[in-house]
Amino acid sequence: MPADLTTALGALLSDRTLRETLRRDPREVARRLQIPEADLHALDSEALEIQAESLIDKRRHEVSKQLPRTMALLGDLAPGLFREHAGIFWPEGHRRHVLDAARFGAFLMERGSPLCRSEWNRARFVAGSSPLGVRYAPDVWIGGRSRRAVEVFLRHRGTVRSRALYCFGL
Amino acid sequence: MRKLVGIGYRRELAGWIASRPAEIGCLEITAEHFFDADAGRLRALRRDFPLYVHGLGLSLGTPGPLDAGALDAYARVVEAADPLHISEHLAFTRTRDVDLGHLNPVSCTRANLALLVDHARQVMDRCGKPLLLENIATALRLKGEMDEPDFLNLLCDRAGCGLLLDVTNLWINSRTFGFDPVQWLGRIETRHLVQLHIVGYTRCGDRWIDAHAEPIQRDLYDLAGEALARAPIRSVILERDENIPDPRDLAAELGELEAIHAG
Repeated sequence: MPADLTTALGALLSDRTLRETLRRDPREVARRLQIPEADLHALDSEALEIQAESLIDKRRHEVSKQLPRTMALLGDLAPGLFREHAGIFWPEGHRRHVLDAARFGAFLMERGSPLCRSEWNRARFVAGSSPLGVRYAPDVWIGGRSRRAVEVFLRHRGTVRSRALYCFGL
Repeated sequence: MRKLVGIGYRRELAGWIASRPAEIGCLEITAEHFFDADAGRLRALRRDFPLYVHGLGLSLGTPGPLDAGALDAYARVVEAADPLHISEHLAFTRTRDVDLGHLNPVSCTRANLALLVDHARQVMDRCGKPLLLENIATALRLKGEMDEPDFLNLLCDRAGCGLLLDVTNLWINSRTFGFDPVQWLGRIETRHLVQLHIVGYTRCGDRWIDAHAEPIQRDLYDLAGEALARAPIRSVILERDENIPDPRDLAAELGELEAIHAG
């Protein structure tokens, strides 16, 4: 349990429900986070919300770079869906953006929401550590259009390369 | 010592950088971008340019010990790059419970001062290079026991490190919180100022953000000029991550910074 403002701030910035509770009942949040209530009163709740939103916006922006076609497919639904995903998963480490993309893809898959499988395949491979991956996708971008294909991913000296094998019969 | 003006290395700029344009006097590489990379890439860059290594994820403001894995990975990049100095942010990106992934402010308290001094010394000991600490832009102002310039001066004195002044972040915070950035600058001991970061700010509704997506605005050139006129700053780095323009536009920005730096 936190006993310092930085750890408490981490909890507040990552948990929308906790921030809502803070607005209603700072004493309860101070008790849960084990910090003096005065420290919480010193926080500007509007600024706290802006800072928290900016963390989610930065994550969504980075995931958009990994999953541009998916975000385009989602259109106006993207911000809300991403916020929902981001509230339950915080990626760790220096590969956090691609991990975030891989998990967001899984989140969309579970919900049956639009998802570019080819992008998701790549994100999952990059997020992992295996040197070779082979995956099927119905929407690989080949020759200016979306096609069914098997994609081969290779990892060499920190760089990921991919090659799509166009599958006429699928 | 020769003053240097350069740019943050980004993959999108690799071709232009490889052509060794005269406007690029030095390069700053982001440590985390090279954690999985072949050390040969860094050795090749260091043959062509003086390098600086800049960190995003050491989370110096997190209470408790530094993340040993992150510090090891950072130190490996430093070893391969052999930079003139290294840098990190005055911020926390994670706590023991959650990795927030981006920069968040720490309050200017005596406890955080001691923590940051300890962490800064550990990074310098581990990497064997001088460390600069960078001010961040934030929407959130935290109550502290001293104000930011006093905190920064004490931190540099006690840790034996320098400041990487992000001109854009200073400007954004001055607008967000309503203070005079030149006055703020006047309270920083000039001997601590070693390097500048600069990029255009982005207007987002009624706020300003550091999206690293815009050309440098005139008021930022002016503020950079104030800093350069006051302190023996050794280098200036242009940071651009989004909306990356034609290299000729970046070269023009570097040329203007060079003119201010030389002036």
